[in-house]
Amino acid sequence: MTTTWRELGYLTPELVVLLGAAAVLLLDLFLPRGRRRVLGGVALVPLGVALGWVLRALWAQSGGPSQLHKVFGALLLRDPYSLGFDVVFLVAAILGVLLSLRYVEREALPAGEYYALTLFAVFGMMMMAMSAELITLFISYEILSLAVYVLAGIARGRAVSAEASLKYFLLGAFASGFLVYGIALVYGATGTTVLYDPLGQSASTISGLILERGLFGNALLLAGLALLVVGIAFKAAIVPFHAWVPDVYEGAPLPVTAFMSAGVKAAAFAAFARLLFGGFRNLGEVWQPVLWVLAVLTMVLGNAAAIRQQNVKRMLAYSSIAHAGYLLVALAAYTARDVAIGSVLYYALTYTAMGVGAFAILLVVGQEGEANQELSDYRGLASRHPWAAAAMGLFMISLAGFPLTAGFLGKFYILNAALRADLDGLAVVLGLASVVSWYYYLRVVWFMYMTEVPKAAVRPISRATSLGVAVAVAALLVIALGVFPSTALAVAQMAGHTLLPLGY
Amino acid sequence: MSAHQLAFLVLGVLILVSALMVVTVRNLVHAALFLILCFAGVAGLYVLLQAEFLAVAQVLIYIGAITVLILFGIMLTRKITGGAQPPLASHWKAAGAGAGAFLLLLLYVAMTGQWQVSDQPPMDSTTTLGLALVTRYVLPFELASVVLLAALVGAVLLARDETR
Amino acid sequence: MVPTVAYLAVSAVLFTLGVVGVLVRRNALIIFMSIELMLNAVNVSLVSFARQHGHATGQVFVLLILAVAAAEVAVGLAIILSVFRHRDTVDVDHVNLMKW
Repeated sequence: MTTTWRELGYLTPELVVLLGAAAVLLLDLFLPRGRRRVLGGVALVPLGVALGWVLRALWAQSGGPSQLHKVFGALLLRDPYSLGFDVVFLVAAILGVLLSLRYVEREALPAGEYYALTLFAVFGMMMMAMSAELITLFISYEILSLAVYVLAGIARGRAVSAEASLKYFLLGAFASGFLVYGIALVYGATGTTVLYDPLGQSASTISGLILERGLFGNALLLAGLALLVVGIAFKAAIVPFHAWVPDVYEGAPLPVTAFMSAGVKAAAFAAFARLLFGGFRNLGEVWQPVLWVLAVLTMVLGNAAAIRQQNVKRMLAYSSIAHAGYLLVALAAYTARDVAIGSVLYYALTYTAMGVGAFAILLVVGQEGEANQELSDYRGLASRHPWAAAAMGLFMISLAGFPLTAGFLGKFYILNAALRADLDGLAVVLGLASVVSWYYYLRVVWFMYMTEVPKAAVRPISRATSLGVAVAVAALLVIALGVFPSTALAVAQMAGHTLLPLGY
Repeated sequence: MSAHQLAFLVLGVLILVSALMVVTVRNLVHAALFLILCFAGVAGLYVLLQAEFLAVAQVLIYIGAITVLILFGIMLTRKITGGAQPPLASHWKAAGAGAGAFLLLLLYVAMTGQWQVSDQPPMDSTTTLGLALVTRYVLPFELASVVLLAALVGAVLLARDETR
Repeated sequence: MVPTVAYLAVSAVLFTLGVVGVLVRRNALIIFMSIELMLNAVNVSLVSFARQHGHATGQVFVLLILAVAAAEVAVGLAIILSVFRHRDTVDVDHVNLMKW
C-alpha cells in the first residue's frame, strides 16, 4: 500500500488550500500591522486556484466517462461527488472572504488568524467530502469544527461573540462524543471502518459486511448508526439538534455566519450522503423513516421559528434550518439514487449562492458592521438604493423558491426525487413549508419596495468594492443556476452516479 | 477469580466511582482530581487489554496535559480557588431519566453481541500500532497534525490578552 | 480473561455518566470534564474491540482521539477564558447561554 506522487496529485486542491493557510500564517508574522489587510487577498489565491483545478477536473469528465480514484488505500475517494462539493465549499469560502475584507479591518479582527482558520475550515470540509473511512471522516470533522469554534468567537471585544463560541464549542464537543461512540460501535459490529468500495474490489467494508454477514438487525450496528446520525445532524443543524443555531448564528461575526450557514452545512450533508448511500445503503429501510421524521420536524420548526423574527439576521439563521430540512428530504428519497444525490449537490450550491448573497446584503445595509439588521431598516430601501434592493429581492425570491431562480429549480429537483421515491407525503410537506416561507421572505421585499421612509431617516449604505463583487457574484450564480441549469445539473447527476457503488 | 479479573473489577469500580464524583462533586478542584483518578483507571484497563503504548499515552496526555490544563483553567476563572458550585440545573430529573434509558439501551446492545473471548495469541501491540500508523493510517495521522496546528492557532488567539 | 462485554458495560456506564454531567451541571469547566469522560468511555470500547477483532485499527483510532482531545482542551479553555473576561463567570446559566 504505497502512496505515489500521482495519488497525491489527486489531492491538489486540498493541498493548495492547506499550503495557503500556512502561507497566510507566515506572512502575518512578517507584515507590519498596517499592511495586514492584504492577507485577505492572499487567502483568495489558493481558494481561486483550487476552484480552477476542481472545475477543470469536472469539465474534463463531463460527457466522458467519470473518473474515480482511491487515494491512501481506500481512505479517500477522488470522485465527481467530492469535486462537486468542493465547488460548493470553495464558492462559500470565496464569498465569505470577500465579505470579510472590510469587516475584519473595521472591527480590527486579527487578520492572519482569521483567514488562516477559514482556510483550515475549508480544508476540513474538502477532506470530509472525500472521506470514505470513518477515522478520516472524524479527524476532518474535527479540523472543520475546531476552526469554526474559534472563528465564531474571534470578535473578542464583543461578549455575544465569545458566548456564541462557548455554546457552539460545548454542544459541538458533546455531539462529537456521540459521533465517535457511533464510530466505535460500528467498528465493533463489523471490524472495519471503511464505508464502502465503489469499485466493488473489496468485500471487507461496512456495506460489504452488512450483506455478507447479514447484519441487518444487529443491535450494535444500528445503535452505532443512530449515534453517527446524531453527531452529523448536529453539524447540519437538523431539528432536534439545532438548539445552538440561533444564538451562534446571531453572536458570530456576520461573515462567519454566512460562511457557516452555507459551508459547514454543506460539508455535513456531503459526509451524511456518503455515509448513508455508501456505507449503510443496505439499511436504507431502517434509516429512511428516521430521516422522514427529522425532515418534517426540521422543515416545520425551522419555518415556524423564522416567521416570528423581526431581526433579519435571526430570520436568515432560522430559515437556514428549514433549508437543511429540504436537503433531508432529498436524502430520505434514497431509492431515487443518483437523482436524490444530484439534487442534494445542486441545492447545496444554490443555497450557498443565495444564502451568502443575502448575508452580504446585510453587511451592505448595516454598513459593514453588526448594526441595522432589523426589518424596519429595510424600509424604503428600493427608492434610496435600487441596486442593493434589487439584489436582496432576488435572493429573497430565490430563497422562497420562485420560478426562474435557482431556489425554484433546487426545490423542484428535490421534489422530483421525493416523488420518484414515492415519498408523496414528504413532498407535500415540502411544498407547504415553502409556501409558509414566502411570508417571511416576501415581507423583506415588501418593506424594501412598498414602504417609504422620511428623508431625514435615510441611512447611507456601504459601497465597498469587495462587498459589491460578492453580491454580484452571488446574484449571477443565482440567475445562472436558475436560467441555465443544465450543465450544473448534469454534473450533479454524474456526481450522484459515482457516489453509488457499482451495480447499485 | 483470577488476578486479571480482580484487577478489572477494582479498576472498573475505581473508574466509575471517580467519574460519578466528577459529575456530582461541588468543588471544582476536587472534580479535576477525581478526573485524574478516572483517567488513571482507564490507563489500567488499557494495560489489561494489552495496549501498553496507549496506557502510557493516556497517562502522558490525559493526566499530564489535559488535566493540568483544566486545573489551570479552574485557577484562571475563579477568584477563590475551589469555591463551591451552584446546584444542578433544574431539569436534572428529566435528564437523569433520559440518561438512564440511554444506558439501558447501551447495555442491551452490548449484551446482544456475540463476544467469544478471542483466543488469539497476544500481539505485540506497540509494533502493530506503530506500523499501522505509518502505513495504512498515515493519512489520519498526518491530518491530526493539522488538527493540532489549527487548535494551536485558535487557542493562542483567543487566550491572548487584548492589551498585549 | 475478562470478556469484551464487561469492558463494554464499563464503557457504557462511563459514557452515560459523562452525558449526565453535560446535561445537569452548569459550570462550563465541569461540562468540559464530562465530555472528556465520554471520550474516555469511547476509548475503552475501542481498545476492547481492537482486542476482540485482533487488529490495530481500534488502537489507532484511540491514539488519534487522544490528539483531538488535547486540541479540544486547548481551544475549549481558551474560549472559556475569553468568556470569563467579559462576564466574570463560567456558569452557563449566568452567561445566558444554554437553553437546552
